[in-house]
Formats: sequence, structure tokens, C-alpha cells
Amino acid sequence: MPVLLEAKNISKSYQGKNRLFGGSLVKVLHDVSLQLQAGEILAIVGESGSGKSTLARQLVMLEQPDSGEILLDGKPFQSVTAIHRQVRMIFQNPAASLDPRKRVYQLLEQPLLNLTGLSGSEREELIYRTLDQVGLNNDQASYYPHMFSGGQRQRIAIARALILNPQVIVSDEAVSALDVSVQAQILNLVMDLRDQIGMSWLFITHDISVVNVIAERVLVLYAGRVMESGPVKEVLENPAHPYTQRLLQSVPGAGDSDRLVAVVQMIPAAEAQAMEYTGCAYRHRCLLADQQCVKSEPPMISLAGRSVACFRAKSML
Amino acid sequence: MANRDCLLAVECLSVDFETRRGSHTAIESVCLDVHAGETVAIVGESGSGKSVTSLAIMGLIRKPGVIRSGKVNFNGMDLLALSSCQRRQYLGRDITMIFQEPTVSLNPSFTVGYQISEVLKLHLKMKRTECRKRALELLHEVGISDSLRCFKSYPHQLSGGMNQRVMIAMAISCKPSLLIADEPTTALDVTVQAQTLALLRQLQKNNGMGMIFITHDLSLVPDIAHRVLVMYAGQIVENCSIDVLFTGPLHPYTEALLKSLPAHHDKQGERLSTITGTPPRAGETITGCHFHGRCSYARERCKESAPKLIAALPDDPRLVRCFYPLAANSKTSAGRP
Repeated sequence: MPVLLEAKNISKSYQGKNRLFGGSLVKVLHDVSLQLQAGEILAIVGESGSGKSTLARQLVMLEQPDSGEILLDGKPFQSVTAIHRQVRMIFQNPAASLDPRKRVYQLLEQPLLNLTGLSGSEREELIYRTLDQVGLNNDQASYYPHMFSGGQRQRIAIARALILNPQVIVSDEAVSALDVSVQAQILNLVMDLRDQIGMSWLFITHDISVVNVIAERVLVLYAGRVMESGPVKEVLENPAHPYTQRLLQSVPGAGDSDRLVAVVQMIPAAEAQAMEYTGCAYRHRCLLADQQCVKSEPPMISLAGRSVACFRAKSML
Repeated sequence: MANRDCLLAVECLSVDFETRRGSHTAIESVCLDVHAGETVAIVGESGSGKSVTSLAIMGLIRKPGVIRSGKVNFNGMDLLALSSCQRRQYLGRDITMIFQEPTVSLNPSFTVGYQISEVLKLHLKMKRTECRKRALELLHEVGISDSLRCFKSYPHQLSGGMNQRVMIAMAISCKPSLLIADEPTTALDVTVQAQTLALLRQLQKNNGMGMIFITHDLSLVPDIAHRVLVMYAGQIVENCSIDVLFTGPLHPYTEALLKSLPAHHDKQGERLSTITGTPPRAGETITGCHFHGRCSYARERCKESAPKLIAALPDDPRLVRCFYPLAANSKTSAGRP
């Protein structure tokens, strides 16, 4: 399959809050690379503070990365409007990302007005067709967002992303705020859209059990670095990175959670990220870390069908 | 069910909310028992009345909410009959609660240490130095290694998981006999969630307290609970022990919830099963079974009369609110010649 969206060695830093003393730069993304193929769902998993959302913001050009480049169809990003047509984003909380004072029709019309030159009747036809695609009916176009349930609101958000017929949709924790039964409906819709119109998705989530159901490939982020990436089947069934393994053990019902009590005193992800250190980013929480992990940062290696950044990867398999 | 040796016995609790458009029933004849050392999970979608149940037990229902009927017996004493002044002696000491969003429930303008000490000072009448010593012990007990630094920190300086540990430390500070945890891990990362669950389980084992664990995530339940109550539209629809929940749910709603869990789905790319329709809105009047509109097994009788929460089989401890419970059906039909 051709590569549709490609990110090469993206880094991003933000100015620290402590302005009085100059404010240190906090590096949030460290040389992150990814490839999204046409018609696939690529999942990005990680804890809060791992840089998932920052990565999404770079990919839809809400922000400019400090270094590295992003290619769409092999060409670098040119204008913001072109990118906003081709790469659309869905946010976590639809109640907050939909303007409460606009009707659904207006919400869906806005991107068409901004980015296309379609006439009124063409816009109308497209809006009704897109609503139908996400499972809402035409009457609901005149409703306000508050009149919908959480799952329906997320459908509106998906419709708003779909309406420009983009090449890629980036969804940031799109199902985290939903009940399980509603979450299942939205996940089915995502899979339907991929199968019916070949939509490519970059699906950001913290829930590894969701990844297992919908994605073909997965990328595990920790402290702004890619820890492991590859086909879901290989990575989740046979993790080569201790962090991936830890994530899998944390899934409720995995059974091994009593062991986790022993490691609770370790440094949380956000703190590890801000600290100055050498070596592997995960070594503070890793049970396998030794002198080598402190001295140098593990390079990304190819192993058993996936890429992994760990010195211990071979012994993990 | 026998009510003796019960730590908490809630009988037929109903809560209404009075609005301009009339009175809406939030929960309807909720009955539940919690024994010492037992964890009871309450599971349901948003709006099913899980949190209202816990607030009613704590006596925290405020206007426009009204407790219509019911009794809350805690150690043989009716909590609802007490004045708020009398009730306050028990709350925070014998019955404590952990809320969903730890960063919001802690006071941002005081240090964590001060907030834990406050509880000790109020309920156990400890002196300042004693408070400090005990607070540090508590922080250590909930797995915070650098307890002195944490003691001096403000909530914003700590991560979500650490704040939830602080909340747990406050909740167990007076050795409560009942802990109500309302979605304690929903706002946390999966790795932190697993740790928090393990911590709660360990503390419960050590202190022998009863626990009510409220969650919308059915997949957490086997990790922590002994018994589970499934709520739908303000009613308990199923009450069963954890061992049988995953093998043979009785209520169609429980079955549908289980099927929609991604974790219980092995095949990649295959569609998840969903529950069609939406739960009834607040104030909507429903005749018959509350679930009949979304139930794939519904028959005529379900639309006309409302089922009661009864034992599915004569010698089965499981309770279900359904005319045609699932596993019971298959058993009886299998038993027929």
C-alpha cells in the first residue's frame, strides 16, 4: 500500500512556565517518525503526557514542528488551507468542540464555506449526504448540539471531518468520553468508513483494548519518543518493549496487576519527561533497566516484524 | 436476602428530582447490601443513577433532589433519619467517599498534608504533631515513597494518580468501615488505574472494610468486586456474584454491555455489537420494562407490565429484573424433554 502521510523525525519543544528565570524549554516530541498507509487505521497509544496530542497537532498543522518534516503523498506541506482540506481532526470532547450556538447544518457548512467554492445547493446536498453517512437523519440538521447524546455529538464531529472528503482523519481520544455501548457504535462507524470509502485514520487513544479491535498497526509513545511500532498482531501479542508489556498488563482483567503495587513509587510519565537525564526515557519505571540503559539511549531497531527502541528487546521475545 | 451481619443495607431507596416540568425519578426502589470485607460494584451507563445512589447513601442529595422513600441502615442505624449534624459524625470517619476527579475534589489553596491533617484533627481529635506523623504514615501506606515532599505539596504539583492516592489516604485515615468509590479511576491512565485498583484491593484486605465501587466500565469489575449490581435507567436490573457474571448474564442489558466491550473481542476488524437506541431521558415515562425499547428479546408482556427484581431460579442467589432471564431460559429449555 502506498504511504499517504509520513512524518520524519519530528521534534517539538514548548517554553517552560518559569519565565522569571529564563524558562527552560520542555521538549515534548523527540524525533518521532511515522508512516500512515492509504486505507489503514494506525493507532497511537500512550499515557497522558506522552505527546500523543502534540503529535496530532503537528500532523494537522495546528502547530509547526521545530524540526523534521511532514509529507502528504510524498510532498511536503505547502499551504495551511490545502492541509486543512486533506487532513482533518476530531477532538476528544464533542460537547466542547462543537459551537453550542450553531445548528448542525451551520456546523457542517462552515468548513465548506471556508475551504471550498461550492454553491448553496451543492453544499446542501453534501451536508445531507454526509449526515446519512454517519447515521444521522436529515431532520437533525436543524438541531443544536445540546439536543444530541454524547455518541450522536461525536457522529456530528466525524461528519464535520468527513465533509471535505479528506485523505486522512486524525482523531484524538475520540471515544474516551463515551459509554462502552456508545463507544462500540463509534468504533464500528470508524471501521465502516475505512472499509466503504477507504478513509485513512490516525487513531489516538490511551486504551489498548480499543487498538486491538480497530487498528492494523500501532505506535507506542512514551515521553515523546516512539518505543515500539508495528502490526497490531505482533506488537500486542508479543511485545518487545517493557513499556508495551506494562501497558498490556494494565488492561483490566489482565490478571497480573498485584505485581504493579510493587512499582508504584516510580516516577510518573510527566515528571520523567521534564527531567534532565541521559539514556532511555523509560528506564525510571523499567524493571529491566541496567547500566547500559542509563548510559545511552537505545536506537530503533527492526526485530520480528516491528521497530523497537530497547536494548532488551531480543530477550523480551 | 438476610440483613443480619450487614454493614450497609439499603432498602427500596427512591430519589426524585423536582423540576419546573414536574418530578423526575432518578432512582427507583434501589436495594443493596454490603457486608464487611466485601466489594460491591455498581455498573451502568451515564444517567443510570449510579452516582445518585451513592450520594443518597451519603446523605448528600440537595435540592431539587428529594429522597422519596427508603431506608439506609448502617450498622443497624438509619442514616436518613439522622439530622445532618448527627450524620456528619459518621461521614468522613465511618463512611468515606472517593470521587472521580481527584484534582477537582482537593482544595487547591492548601497543601496536601494540611488537608489530610484536617480530617484527623476533626474526627480523631489529634494534636498537630500527631496529625503530621499519622499523615506521613498514611501517605506511605498508599504507596507514595517521598511522603515528606508530598505532604508539603499543593495538589497542582502532583500528578493525577498521586492526587488520587492522596484522596485515598484521606478516605482511609480514620479506618472507615465503608468506602464508597465513585468512578475513582476514570480520569486516570491505564497503568495508574491498574495501580490504584491494586492499592484499593490491598487496603480493603488489610482493613477489612466494605466497599461500594461505582464504575461505567464493566471490564474493571472482575479485578476488584465480589458482587455486581447492574443499573439501568434508575433501576437495578441484575444483582449477581462476579464468578457468574461473565459466564452467564441473566439480564439482556448485562449481556449487551458485555458484548460491547472491546476487550472481549478477539477478532481484529470485526464489528462490535452495540445496543440500539438510546437510554430513556430523565423524566420520560416508561410503561413496562425500562429496557424493552432496546431489548432484542422483548415480547408483548415486557411493554405492558414492569418486571420485579426477583430470584431468577428458586435456588439461585442471583436477582434479575426480567420476565425472561437469559441463562435461566436456556436452563429450563434444556431441562425440558
